[in-house]
Parts: sequence; structure tokens; C-alpha cells
Amino acid sequence: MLRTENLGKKYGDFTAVDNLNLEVKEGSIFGFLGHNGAGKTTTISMLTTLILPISGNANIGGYDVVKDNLKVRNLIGYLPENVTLYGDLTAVENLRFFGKLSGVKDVDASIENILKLLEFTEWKNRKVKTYSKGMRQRIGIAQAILHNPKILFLDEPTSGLDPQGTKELRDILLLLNQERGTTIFMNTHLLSEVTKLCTDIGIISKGRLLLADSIKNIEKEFPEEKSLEEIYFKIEGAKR
Amino acid sequence: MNGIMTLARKEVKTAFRDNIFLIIIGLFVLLSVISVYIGSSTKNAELQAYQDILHLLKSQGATSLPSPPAIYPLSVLSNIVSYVSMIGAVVAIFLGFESFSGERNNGTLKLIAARPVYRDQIVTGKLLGGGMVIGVLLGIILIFNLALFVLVSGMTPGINEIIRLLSFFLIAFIYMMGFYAATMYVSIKTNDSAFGFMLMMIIWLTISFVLPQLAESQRTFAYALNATAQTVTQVSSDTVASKMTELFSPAAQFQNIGKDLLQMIPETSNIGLGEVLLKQIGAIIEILIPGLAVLLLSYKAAQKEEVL
Amino acid sequence: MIIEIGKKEIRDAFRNKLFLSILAMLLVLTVVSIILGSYQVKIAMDNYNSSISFLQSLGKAELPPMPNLNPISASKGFVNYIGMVGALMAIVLGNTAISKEHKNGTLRLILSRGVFRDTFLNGKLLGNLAILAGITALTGIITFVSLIAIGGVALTTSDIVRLLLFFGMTFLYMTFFTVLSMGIATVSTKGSRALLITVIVWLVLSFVFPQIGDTMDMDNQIPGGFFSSMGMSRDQEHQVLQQFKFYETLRDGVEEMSPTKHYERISYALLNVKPGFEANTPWEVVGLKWINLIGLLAPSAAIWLLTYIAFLRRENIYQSN
Repeated sequence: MLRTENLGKKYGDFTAVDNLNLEVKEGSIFGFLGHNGAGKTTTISMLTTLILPISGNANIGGYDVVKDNLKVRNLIGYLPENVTLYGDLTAVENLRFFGKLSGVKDVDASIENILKLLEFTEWKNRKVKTYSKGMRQRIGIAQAILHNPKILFLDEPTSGLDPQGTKELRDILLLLNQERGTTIFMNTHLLSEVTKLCTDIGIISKGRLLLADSIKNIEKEFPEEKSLEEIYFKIEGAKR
Repeated sequence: MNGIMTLARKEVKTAFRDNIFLIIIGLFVLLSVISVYIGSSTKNAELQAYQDILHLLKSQGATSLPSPPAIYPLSVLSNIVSYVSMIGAVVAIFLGFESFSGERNNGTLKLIAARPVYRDQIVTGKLLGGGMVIGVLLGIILIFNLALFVLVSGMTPGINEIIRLLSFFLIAFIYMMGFYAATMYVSIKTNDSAFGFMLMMIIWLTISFVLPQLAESQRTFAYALNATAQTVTQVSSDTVASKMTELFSPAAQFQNIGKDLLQMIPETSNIGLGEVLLKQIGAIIEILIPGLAVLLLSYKAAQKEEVL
Repeated sequence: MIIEIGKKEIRDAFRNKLFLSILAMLLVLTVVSIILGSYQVKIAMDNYNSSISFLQSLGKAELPPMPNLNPISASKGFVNYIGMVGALMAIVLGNTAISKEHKNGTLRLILSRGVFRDTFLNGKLLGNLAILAGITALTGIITFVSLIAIGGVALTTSDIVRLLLFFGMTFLYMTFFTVLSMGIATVSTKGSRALLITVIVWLVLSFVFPQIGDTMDMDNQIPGGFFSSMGMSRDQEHQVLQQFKFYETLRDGVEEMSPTKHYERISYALLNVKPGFEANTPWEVVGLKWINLIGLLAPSAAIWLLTYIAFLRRENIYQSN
């Protein structure tokens, strides 16, 4: 579904992402782990065609993120960190706008379906600025899946959510993955999230990928460590 | 094209949902209507005053009576020129100052950019949306003005007047779009929307107020110079320096065009539209050029990665 | 404690790019307008002197008296610049004073240090007024120096007092806008919204009201003046205007709502730009124009009082950021 080869990005002298080689299989939930500033958001921005890599390449569903960027954009859904949407518009109006930009044919029907799926129909005609953080995040997910993307990119999706909101979001993501077969790529620095949700993980530190594998394999590889947390700190510590 | 229209419609919708923007356009529309009302009743008062003056002079036994004041129909609407040049520009600033910085803070700019639209389409969409809002506002003002004009002054505008009025609103539209484009450019370049807003307000103040004022004091200064040189007999009201100063002010240029179009200058009140526009061609170009320049800069700036 | 908060305000202001750029613009405008004005005075002086020496060379004993140069009217342009640019600067100053604390979340920090809210607010006001006073003094010095150095005139005591009073009015005028924007920023929960609202209020007070007043001025409607186009004398004009008393009262009323107009009226009277006050002593002018002085002072005091009440009573101050 997604593959990068020696993908790199620099800002001036600072190397944000260094020779990243990554593969994400169709139907998986991939957790991209790392500290703040490790290069997670830069990676996601290159994959979602928002910024250009300076070296290597990446392709999604067989399309190159640089050369075929418009085609890639049709395949992906994206929810950046801290999106507040258009506060003065209602949920439906926000969704209609983004749906039309994505070229969704029957926008209103799609919106109805998704709001039902997310159990949000009740509040759909209220202005977004009146929503709680959790509600807003649900509409954020809704705009990202409106055009039925093959792969969904999420940047720190649980940041700022309370435990209840976090659980709701997790349920939604599992539902999408299971019912629609959507591949999910999420950035996070919360290990607990990864253990509860992901099938595969990658660990990035200072722009370099330290490890990427399925959770099952990783647990086999590190039999001594009791939790993912211990594994994470072991790898981070060893390669630093 | 679909993407551009979607973006433009969203601009219109969000603009009319924003309370602060509603206040400022309310002010704009209300003031222009009031000003026309006041303008025309002042004109009526003048005509009445003229009658009083005739009575007064006759009772004092004067033989030569002044001729009635020359009032051209459109000059009743003349106050609109200063309102559009000042408040109209502010409306454009209020409309545009968050066009990019606001979307950046909402995170919505990334959402748009990750969809199958080109970056230049985002700029075009915003420009079109802003244009639709400004167009609607000017349209409302035009209709109100025409209605008031007929109601209060009791005159019916002829075809010549209507063409002049329409041309004036077209130029007002270009003038406001210039401010909108400049504000959009600032909004692309800065993250702090309050800073961008105040920056545009300073530019606005310079263009519409400080420069014309400087030109004015330059004129009085030149007058004093001429008086010293004993050439006071034929002092032209425009000096080279004051003209130069006004060159930097699209607001002054706009007012010059407006005065000609709305029959505030007796000499140009009866000539054809083509002649007026030809006379003011320099001023028209000067309103157009800065707007186009910032628009091009906006297209260029929007291509950069940092814009997100 | 108040002094500490005040000092911090002054330090912050001189790191504020917006404030600095408006200040720079204001100073440039001050220099340009005062220099142009001073040259005008100098030219009139030279003119008089050369005609005197010309007459003397002809052997005339009866020399024309020194014309009334009125050097202090050189500040006329300055009144207009302060009216708009000075007000905008004062708004930036007042708004950032409050909104920066909201933005950085430092409001909680400061209030949790056992500072009383009134001390906090007073300190802020004091610091910002000190900045305004400094700017007023600076422009005042520029004016005096260029009048003497360029204009080459000796100012009478009365002239000096009039100028000093005029700069006092300038300070009061800018104070109004600082207090206004601090007040709106305190009451509102979002700093950027407060700024927009303050700017709208400023537009209405400084631009719209005076403009409406202008529009309603009959004499303004015809180039060169309506009454002079009718060939009327001042007396006849008054006679005609008597008939439109209500209309004129209304016009006056609109203008009275604008502090900018109050500032302009008292300043023009003090600077002898408006004829009719030449014979009065400086203090008499203030006495005659007391209503304008009140128009500058009372709104500031009222807004400050309201801000005080709102800030001291507000409970949600800790949540807003």
C-alpha cells in the first residue's frame, strides 16, 4: 500500500528525515512512534504530498507522491494535529466543503452515511465552534474518510482528548479498519495507544528509522521485555 | 474549476457568518446610505437657502442676484466616494486578513492542500470568493443609492448618469479588490493574524490619509514659497511635489476618478464617459497595478512549502 | 509593585514591532510637518525683513508693522497626524498590554503572585501612560527646537504656554485610545477580537463622525464654499444659517461624539489656527473651550472606571487564554 525508499528531507542544515525506508501493508494499522521533533510530522507531510522530499521517493497505491501527487491525494485521507475546522460553519457545511473539494459525487448522501457511522447525526447542524474537542475530532475523521480513501493518515489523533474521547476515537478507527478495510497510518508518541490499536509499528528518532515490524514479530524478537514500552526504551537507548 | 467555485462559495459563507465582519459591513452599508441621504438633504437645504438669499438680497434692494447653485444630479451621491475609499478599503482588509493565517491556525489549509486542488487554485478561489462578497456589498449600496437618489432628490437619472454611476462602482470594486489582494498576501506571509491586520491598517492609514495630507501641506508650503517669490498671481493648486506624493496613494487617485465620474467637478460633469476615463487613465492604471502586483506575489508565495 | 509592572510595560512596548513602526511613522510625520511649518514661518519672516530693508534703503521712515506670523500654527499638520496615527499607536499599545498576557497565559502567573488586581491594572495603565507622555514630550521638543532653529523666531511666553497646553491635550487624546483599547481587551476574552472591535470603534469616532459632520456642512458641498459662491458676506451667512439652526445643532451633536473633533477644536483654538482666540490668554482659551477638555477627559475616566469594575469582578479570568 505504501512504500518509501531512502526518503529524506532537510530544513536548511537540519536533517528532519534521513533515508527512510518504510513499508505499510494494505489493511494494517501502522503506528509511527517517536519523540516530539523526531521527524514524524515531516514524514506524514511528505506522504500526504504537502511538502516535497529532497531525496528518495515514496509511493502510495502505486503512485509516486511527487509525480502523481493529485492521484495520490485521491487515495488518501488526512487529519493533521489540532484541527479546529471552520468554527462558524456547521458540521454538515464543513463536510460538504471538503467532500466537494475531493470530488465526491453524491456529497450529501455520503455525509449522511458517515455521520450515521460516527453516531453524530444529532449534532450535525450545530456550528463547529460549539463542539467539544472530542466531537470536533470526530468531524475531523469524517472529513478525512468522506471520499472513501484507501489509506488514512492521522497526526497525533488523540492529543488533547480526554480518556472517553480517546476510547471513542479508537473504536471508530477499528471500525473503519475492519468494515471498510481502510489502511491507517498514525503518528503518536503515546505507547499505550499503539498497544491497544496497531498491528504494526515503526520507531523513529532524530529522523532515522530505528525499527519497523509487526507487533507480533517485535514481541518475539524481544522476549525479555514485558511490554512495548520497555522495548521502545531499549531500542531508543541502544541506538541513541 | 469546480474546486475553485467550492473554495469561493466557502469564503462567502464564512464571511457572512462572522459577527465582526457583519458589524463592519453593516457600518459600511449604513454609512453610505446615510451619507447619500444627508448629502441630498443638504442639497435641498442649499436650494432653500438660495431662495432665502434671494429674499434677503431683494429686501436689501440689491439688483444683481446670484445665479442658482449648479447642482449636477450625481453630485448628490458624491459622499460615497470618500466612504468607499476609506471604509471600503477597511472592509476589504477585514475580509482578507485571516484568509490564509486563519486557515493555517484552524489546520484547514492542510486539509485543503491534501485534496486534489492545485495551490494556485486556492488563491484563485479565495480571490473569487472575496470578489463575490465585495461585489454583493457594492451591489447593495448601488441599489440603495439609486433608490434614495430618486426618492429624496426627485430626479430621475438619465442614461449618461447611470453609465457614470456603474463605471464608478466598477472602479470602486477594483480599488477594494486591490486592498483585498494585498491583505491576502500579508496573510499568506504571516502567522500572526493580528499583526497582519494591524500592518494592513497602517498601510491603509498611510495610503488614504497620511499621503493625501502630506500632499496638502506641501501645497500650502508651495503657496508660501510662491508668495515670497512674488509670483502669487498664478499659483497652481497642484505642485510637482504634491502630485508626486499623491502618486503613491491609490486612495487619492480613486478619489480623483470618483470626483470626475460623480459630477463633482463642473468642467468634467457633462463630457462623455470615454473622455473622463481617458483623462483619468493614469489614475486607473495606478489603482490596477499594485493590486495585480500583490496578486502575482500571492500566487508565488502560495507555492512555497512554508505556506502550510 | 505598581512601578515594577509599569516598567515591564515600557520594556515590552519597545520590543513590539508594530508599536515601534507606528511610532517611527509618527515621528517622521512630526518632523516633516514641523519642518515644513517652520520653513513657512521663516519665509514669512525673511519676506518681511527684506521688504523692511528695501523700504529703509529708499529712505522711508514709516515702516510697516511686523505681520502676525503666528509661529505656533506650524503644528497644525501635527494635529491631523495625531488624530489618526497617534490614535492607532495608542490602540496598539493598550491592546497588547492586555492581550499579550492572555496569549502567553502570563495573566494567571501574575495574578497568582499575590498582586491585587487593581495594582495590576494600575501598573499597566501607568506604564503605558508613561510611554505616551514620553512620546508627547519628544514630539514637543522636536517642535520647539525646529521652530527656533529653522523658523528663527522668538516665541513669546504666551506662545510657549499655548504649545505646552496643546501637547497636554495631545497626551490626553492618546490616553483616551489607550484606555479604550485596554478596556475592550480586558472585557473581551480573545485578544484579537478585542483589537478588531477597538479598531471599529476608532473608525467610528475618529473618521465616521467627523465625516458625517463634514457632509452635513452646507458650506462644504460646493467647491470653494457655498456661501462664497453666492457672493455672501460673513454676516449674511450667519443670517441665513439662523434659519437652519436645528440642522446645525444636529451636525454639532454628531461631531461632539468624537474625541477627535474635541481634540481638533481645542488644539486649533490653542494654536490660533481657528481665528478668534488671538486676544485671549492661553488659560482663557482652555476656559472657553472647557467643553472640549471635558470631551477628552470624561470618556477616558468613564471607560477606566468600567474596566476597573469589570476586571475586579470577573471570575473567569483564570480560564481565559
